[in-house]
Amino acid sequence: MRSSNKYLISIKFTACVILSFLFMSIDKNDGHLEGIRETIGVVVFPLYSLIDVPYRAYKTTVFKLRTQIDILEENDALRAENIALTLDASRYLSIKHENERLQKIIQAPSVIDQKILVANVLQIESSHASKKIVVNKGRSHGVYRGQPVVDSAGVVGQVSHASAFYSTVVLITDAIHALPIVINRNGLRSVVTGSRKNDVLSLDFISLSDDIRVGDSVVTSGMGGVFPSGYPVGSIVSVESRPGDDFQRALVKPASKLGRFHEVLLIELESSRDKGESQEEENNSNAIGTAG
Amino acid sequence: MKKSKKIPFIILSFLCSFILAVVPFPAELNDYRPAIPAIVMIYWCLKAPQYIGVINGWFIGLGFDVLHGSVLGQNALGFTLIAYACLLYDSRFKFSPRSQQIVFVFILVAFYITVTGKISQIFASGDFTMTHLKGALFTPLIWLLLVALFRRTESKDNSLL
Repeated sequence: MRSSNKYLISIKFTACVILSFLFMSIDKNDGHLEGIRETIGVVVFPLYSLIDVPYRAYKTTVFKLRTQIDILEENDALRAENIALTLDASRYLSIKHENERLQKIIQAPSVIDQKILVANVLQIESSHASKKIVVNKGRSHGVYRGQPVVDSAGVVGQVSHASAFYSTVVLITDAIHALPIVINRNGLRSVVTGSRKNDVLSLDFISLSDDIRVGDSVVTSGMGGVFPSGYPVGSIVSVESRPGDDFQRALVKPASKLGRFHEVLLIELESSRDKGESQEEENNSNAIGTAG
Repeated sequence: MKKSKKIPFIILSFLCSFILAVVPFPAELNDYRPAIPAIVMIYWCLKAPQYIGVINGWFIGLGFDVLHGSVLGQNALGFTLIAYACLLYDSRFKFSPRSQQIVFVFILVAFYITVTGKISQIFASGDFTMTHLKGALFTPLIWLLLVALFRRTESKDNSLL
């Protein structure tokens, strides 16, 4: 009886180990286990909102406890900022019109309109080594996989899993993430990748003849189809070329605050929404293409 | 206390451990975050093997994977290994002194951290170094807390621990 029991446990154990490795390899190569994630998520995801409650409570308490003087001061500051921004916006409008006119002359495809969706970052620690954040908007709000995520300062990352009410965002500093960029000063195109350790992006394989300097600002190039062009990514903090190397490498400091304790914006590209469900797979493979 | 009354305790303890595993810590302390779900898993594998075994452990691990955002199967494998080790060691564990029990739990947690860390290195973008074993440092403390906590709720059931 005792030995047969042990035998049974061993069989169960072997089956579970095999199943785990099967799951891991399928999940690594992507996409087909979303259903399982979704189903388990129904049970597990409510915990997210439970965890977020104390933080939200703290935030609202702090908000409610502010004095009128504080609010008036903040109001003044916001009003001043608003004037400056309105001025900028009006200038931007005229530049946009001019740009459209010029683009018509050179017959370039028109710029895609973008909608944005504001999401709160939940205070969730994801698996410690990978750099991910969880936001409180999901598929029911129109979030889709591969959707670009930015904040007021620059690019944050892209949606890696979208469940019904929550989605996970891979930050651009994650080691598996790569982002097509262009250097503002000279139009040099390249790809920045995340790193395993620090919150910096690395820019490898720049040929020695290319002109790249510390302080150059880096924006998205729009290649690869996931990120729209022109969003700030960061600025170059160091350029290194060792004698004997064929390439020089640079480090880019991200411009955005990378999520934590802030709101983020999810950009909805009109074109990728219009493609609908049938094209979503292609969008996904595209996302992985740039992320790989 | 009747056996079936353990089930709410089991579910509640796992939920709490899950919450503690994803609640944000200060960045400096994050390395020392104890692997509480693993310790809870060990506890119930030894205490209530009729409910928490290899298969159930696997499913609980899968749930934790979804919550934690790790590769699907990473913690499932870790919990399966824990459950298997516990079930094999079960009879000896009951009769060994408290100090040896703690050493056993500590080694098992360190093993779990190593396995899941290595897997996240292979299958995801994780990085595993020996510094991650800092997470096992507080295992004995958590274990003693857990034993004290549930001994109170089950004072009449002295069959284990």
